[in-house]
Amino acid sequence: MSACFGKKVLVDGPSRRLFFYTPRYESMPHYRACLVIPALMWAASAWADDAPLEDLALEDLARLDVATVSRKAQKLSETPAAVTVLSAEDIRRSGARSVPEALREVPGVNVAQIGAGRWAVSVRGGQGRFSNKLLVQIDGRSIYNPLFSGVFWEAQDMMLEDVERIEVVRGPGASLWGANAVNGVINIVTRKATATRGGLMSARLDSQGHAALAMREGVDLEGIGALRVFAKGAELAQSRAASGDGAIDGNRGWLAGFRMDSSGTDSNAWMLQGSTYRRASTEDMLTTGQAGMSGRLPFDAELEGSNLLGRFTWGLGGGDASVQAYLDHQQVSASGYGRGAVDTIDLDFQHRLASLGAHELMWGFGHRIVKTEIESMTPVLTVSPADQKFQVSSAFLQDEITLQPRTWKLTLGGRLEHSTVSHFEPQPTARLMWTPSEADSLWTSWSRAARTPSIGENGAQILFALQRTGNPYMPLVAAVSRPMPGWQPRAERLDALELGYRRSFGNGSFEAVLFHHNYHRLIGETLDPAGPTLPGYPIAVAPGFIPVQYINRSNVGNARSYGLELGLDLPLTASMRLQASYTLMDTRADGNAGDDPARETSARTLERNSPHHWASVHTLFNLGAGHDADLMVRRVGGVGDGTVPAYTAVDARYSWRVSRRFELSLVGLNLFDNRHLEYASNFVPSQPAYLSRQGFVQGVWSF
Amino acid sequence: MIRRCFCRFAFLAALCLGGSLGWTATPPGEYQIKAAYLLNFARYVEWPAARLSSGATLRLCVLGRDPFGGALAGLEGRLVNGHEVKVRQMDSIEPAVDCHLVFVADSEERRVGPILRGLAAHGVLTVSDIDGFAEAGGGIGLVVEDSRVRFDINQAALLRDGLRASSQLLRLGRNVIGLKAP
Repeated sequence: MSACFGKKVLVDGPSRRLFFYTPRYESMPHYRACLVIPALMWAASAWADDAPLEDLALEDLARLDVATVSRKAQKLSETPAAVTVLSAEDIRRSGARSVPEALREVPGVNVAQIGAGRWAVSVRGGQGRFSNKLLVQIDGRSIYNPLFSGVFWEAQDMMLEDVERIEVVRGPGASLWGANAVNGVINIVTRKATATRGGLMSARLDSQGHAALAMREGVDLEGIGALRVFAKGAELAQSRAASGDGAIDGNRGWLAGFRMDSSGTDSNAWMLQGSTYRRASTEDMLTTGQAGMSGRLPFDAELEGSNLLGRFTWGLGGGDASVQAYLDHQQVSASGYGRGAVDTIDLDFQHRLASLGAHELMWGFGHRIVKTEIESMTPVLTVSPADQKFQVSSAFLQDEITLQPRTWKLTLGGRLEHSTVSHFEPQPTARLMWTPSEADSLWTSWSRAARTPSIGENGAQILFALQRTGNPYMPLVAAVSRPMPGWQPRAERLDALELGYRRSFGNGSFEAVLFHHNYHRLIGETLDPAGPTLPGYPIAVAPGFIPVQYINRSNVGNARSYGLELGLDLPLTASMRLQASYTLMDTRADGNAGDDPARETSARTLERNSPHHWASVHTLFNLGAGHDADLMVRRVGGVGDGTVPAYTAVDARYSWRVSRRFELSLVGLNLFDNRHLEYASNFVPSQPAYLSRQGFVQGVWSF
Repeated sequence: MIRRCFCRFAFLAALCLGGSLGWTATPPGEYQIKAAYLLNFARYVEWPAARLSSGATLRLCVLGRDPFGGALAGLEGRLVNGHEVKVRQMDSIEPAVDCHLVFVADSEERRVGPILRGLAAHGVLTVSDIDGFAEAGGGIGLVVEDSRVRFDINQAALLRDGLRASSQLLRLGRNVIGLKAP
């Protein structure tokens, strides 16, 4: 049943919504409508008082018009974790064209656009192009890339119309989801094929002239289930240089796939899905060299991938069991730089047992084989060995104990994981939840999670700067980052403490979470004690070489972060709703860097790579008769030492459901802002990309 | 004249506004509508006589956290096809097999598989607003679509449990899954 492979801590469904009857008055002249509506409404409410809804016939119930507005946390009240679920309706109302845009209003999640199709998405800090402590999955398939520990968002276009929900778990989810679910997990769940019968076409045109077209066709497989096939081609909005002119990047490509689901007429269920994509992403790299060596280098990447996933769910021992397997291939190649490919085979089993008294047990195991290949065409970045293969095996067990029915619940769980590139990593969790009333819940948790070092961290040698020394005999030194000689890589470790409170009132909800994260063995850099060494890098001019100063990577870092996440969902009137979020956080690197400038730099990077606070306010208006409008304002604090200044962005959306089969929407982004910067690289030296005022129009037909 | 116009305008505005505000103050909740649906499902589904003899009490149960916020109290004691409705809330599957209609609350979503297997072949009509409930083998799934509350019926699941849905119910369902009515 559970679309996200049962591991989800919660699920979404039709929300608790606000309803009102809309008497059919469209054909009346307005002045009459003005008189008639209140009269009708008054009559209707009087009638509603006299004749309870229960007495309405089935036909009348099905005909009641309701203004739907989504909620956030209604059924999360039993989940002892910081979780936000975005429903399909939330995604539609956000005007998002991509998954990162849809995540902008989730407390604790920081979304910064790097450029066209490129995003830095992080949860609770550690923002970066490769936010390495965040696990992202689509229908149970990880899109976390082990080469550089992160998600290549530029490769991930999706057909958002067929996304059922996005679950965002902040804080460690490792005991259930495994390694790399350190600061959070994002689960993207697509709709079952049985829920997407019929055709759909979605077309978009933006103010820069870029178009996107997506098509889906769902068919009923009589007696077997249902199948949908889809294809999408999109060219994404471009960003500008600091001067405001010119488009400095681009992203275009296509995606095609299918999903098949069983019909659900018996209690076993199966699902099979696959997709393939190809995208081209272009950007400019800034070289930070000296003496005429600086400039812009075009970086054109081709990203492609294919995957196939199958899952079978059946009843086992009074409980539910499921087995899932997938194959995934992804490849990035950049002309003049090289190529990287990752092939993954993943097998996962899990079993939720029938409750035994107060205990509800769940256990499972998994095995993953990953093969990576890196081919480097530039001395700037080399990885050795070029081809690698590693395996990860893990098993988990979780017990949900009802201490006192409906009031106290304790969840104990743990995962033991072994990876051939790291050690055994135990990842336990304990969560206690108190639900004093139907409306309130208070929970607290302690958990430990681990992040496996990436192939890049374990084996890459990166030339990242040429530094002037001031010494006439050795004017320049090449700074090269490499794994410390003799380093046995260990997983980075997080111990997290959380305290959360949730309250639902009427159709609204409020959520507050306090967290304290304590990181150990973070991979950081120290200056190689040997100093500049020879022979170094050969160059074409005298003296014929540049000495190399090595900077060694190893598990040297420790840090703490703490923060507060607030979320509010408030119905103001039957036709207006307010959703707001606020996040406050701070990260401090521990330990004394001494006089080691490399260590100092990694500590500062850790502290300054995320904003200290950000907030969003989204007002949803239901204008009736199929019209709705949204106003979204968000404020994001500055990052670093002013490299990315604080900014406020205002977006607006208007949509009109012209008929049951057609919806038209108009979205304006950055309305009061000529341009702003959201991100400056902490790893890849991309040219800063400024986002400007833009808009798009989109039509969605279903047939 | 101007003043009269203004007065009329103000009056109209006040009427519009007052009417709207008065209206918006008491919108019927989603679960009030869903509660009304439950009563209608009980009305339009026929249980085998051995399961629900004439004049017997019809037990309507909520499994899990009650999302109706008191709306079910209005169903208590009502008569449906000569059966008196009794509403109960329960936390586990075992006692629920004695109910005639079980509403599976969304708090139970993780346990839908075991719940459906546990209630199968007991002559229980299962109803829920959990996503994809009817497709997962449940009896009737409530869905909100195009600003209306609609429902999907899994006719195969109903027939397996010896329940007969009236043709009217099947006609009004958004999707009828499985076999068509004979």
